[in-house]
Amino acid sequence: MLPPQCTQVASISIRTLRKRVAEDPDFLFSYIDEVYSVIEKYEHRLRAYITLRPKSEVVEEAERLLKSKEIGPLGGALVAIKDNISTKGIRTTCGSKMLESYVPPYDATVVSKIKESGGIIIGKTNMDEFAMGSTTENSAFYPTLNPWDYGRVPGGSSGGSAVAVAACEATVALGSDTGGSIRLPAAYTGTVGIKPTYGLVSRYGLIAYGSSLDQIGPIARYVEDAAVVLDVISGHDPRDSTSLRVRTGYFRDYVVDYPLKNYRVAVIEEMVSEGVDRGVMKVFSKLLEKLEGRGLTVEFKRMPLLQYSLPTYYIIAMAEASSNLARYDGLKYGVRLEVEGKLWTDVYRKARMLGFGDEVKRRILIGTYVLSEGLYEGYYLKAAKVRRLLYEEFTKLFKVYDLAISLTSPILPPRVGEVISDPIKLYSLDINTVPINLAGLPALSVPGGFVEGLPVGIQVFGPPLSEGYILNLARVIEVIRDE
Amino acid sequence: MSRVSWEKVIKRLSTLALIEIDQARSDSLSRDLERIIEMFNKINELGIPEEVEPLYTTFFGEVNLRDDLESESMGIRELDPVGERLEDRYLKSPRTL
Repeated sequence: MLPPQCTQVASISIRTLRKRVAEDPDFLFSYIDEVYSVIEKYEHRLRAYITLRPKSEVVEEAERLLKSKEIGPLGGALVAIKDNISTKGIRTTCGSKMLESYVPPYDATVVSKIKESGGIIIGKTNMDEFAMGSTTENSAFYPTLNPWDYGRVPGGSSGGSAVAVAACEATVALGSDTGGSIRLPAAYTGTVGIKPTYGLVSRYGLIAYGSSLDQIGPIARYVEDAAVVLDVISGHDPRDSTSLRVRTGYFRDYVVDYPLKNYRVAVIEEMVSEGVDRGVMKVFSKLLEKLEGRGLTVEFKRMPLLQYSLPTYYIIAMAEASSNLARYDGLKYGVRLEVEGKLWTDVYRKARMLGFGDEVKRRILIGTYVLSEGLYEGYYLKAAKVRRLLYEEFTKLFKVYDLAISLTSPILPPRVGEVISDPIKLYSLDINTVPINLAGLPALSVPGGFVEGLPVGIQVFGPPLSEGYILNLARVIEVIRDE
Repeated sequence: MSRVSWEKVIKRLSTLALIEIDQARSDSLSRDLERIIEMFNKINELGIPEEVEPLYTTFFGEVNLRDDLESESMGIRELDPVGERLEDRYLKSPRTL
């Protein structure tokens, strides 16, 4: 099921696009026309993009692609890129006034790989400033709205990427996920979003928020498209010191309509009990029954330590953010002020006051607090120890189970303005997604059904480098959810 | 901690983090920080054995450090060959939709 903005042509998959282009190369131009007409009609409401490339530039690239020998695995797919991923010659704002006019002189590794594989960059998408938020209301420019209901948020921080894909304003997109920033918007917009194993996808060119947690991943309308993009962007990169040396490029092979094995699947009770919307729970329970009907073993398991994951995550993420964002001083980057006769500290303080939004300032200050002398041991060090315990709990879990499944979010997308003014409410949206980042695991959100016309996201996760099995189970969910 | 003490903490943090905070913002930040730190204090309910090693990263592969090679970066002329987007030495950003 697709939202009302989509048309038949604009909603095609990468596989269909490649097939149609192989039959008739001019189809690529009709496809570009169709996507741009959706953009013209709906973008003024949705506001998924911060920078949209002119259609003429995109058409020129399509012409160049069709003249080349190979159209690549992406075959002319229009790829939207989250605005914290560097794109050579296209400004990259990170959703912040601080980088409003920053034009990177290089491409992130994932962007180079997209281009080499026949993808055409269509634009840069809106996001919560520096990826700090869960609703895309924290953008310094404007909020992005949910295509299923303009009165609701699309989730965040990769809300612009998820909306561009859901509303057929792009074929696929890239997002980044520090604590759920790909999976939450995927869940709220009815798209598929993957947060890969830490180190599977290069972070070179990603503007850092929480370096030990950040990962880039795909957002797509279909599980198969997400697998194709993951195949393209994953793999070792010498320019990222935390890049894994593992074989990739096989994820697409796991996208089949039946389970590749009789998976033993864990449902962690803490992720589906407290504060779950009744309608959302109904969708989840129905899905579990269907999975059991397909021969899967589903067992409930307790993990009480999860109640500490939210404070643990926010302590670590804010500490890392306060360090990573120290570089924005108004000299090397960001807001430029008159410096003659001023103390450097005054220039820095003023530039950071003017350039950063409220949520970013809040997180930098708290990060500074938890790292300060006398408090470091009680907060940051302790959180790092809880992280170790969580990691070990998941390691034990996946010695017994192949995969685990939960709701991506226990609630339906909140209404615009509903959670933004209350930081605790805002942070609680990430309750089911942050434990995955703390443990560096792979996870995916796939639509599992609808409640009151709004999509419900199902989170599938597993041990490190289990993306293949996760994609297989997600495809099975995609097949059985409407049965 | 009382509200007055939080205001002092914010003043100190604003010096350390090099972010100017005005009085009006300081009041609302005090309220927010108090609640967020209270949420963080939940981890103190958990008894953690002394021997537990902190986990700072989940990357367990071999760390690869690349050679530090010099290369030319993209100049203003390359980004804006005819100078149509140049304003006071800086590039004017493209229009948003």
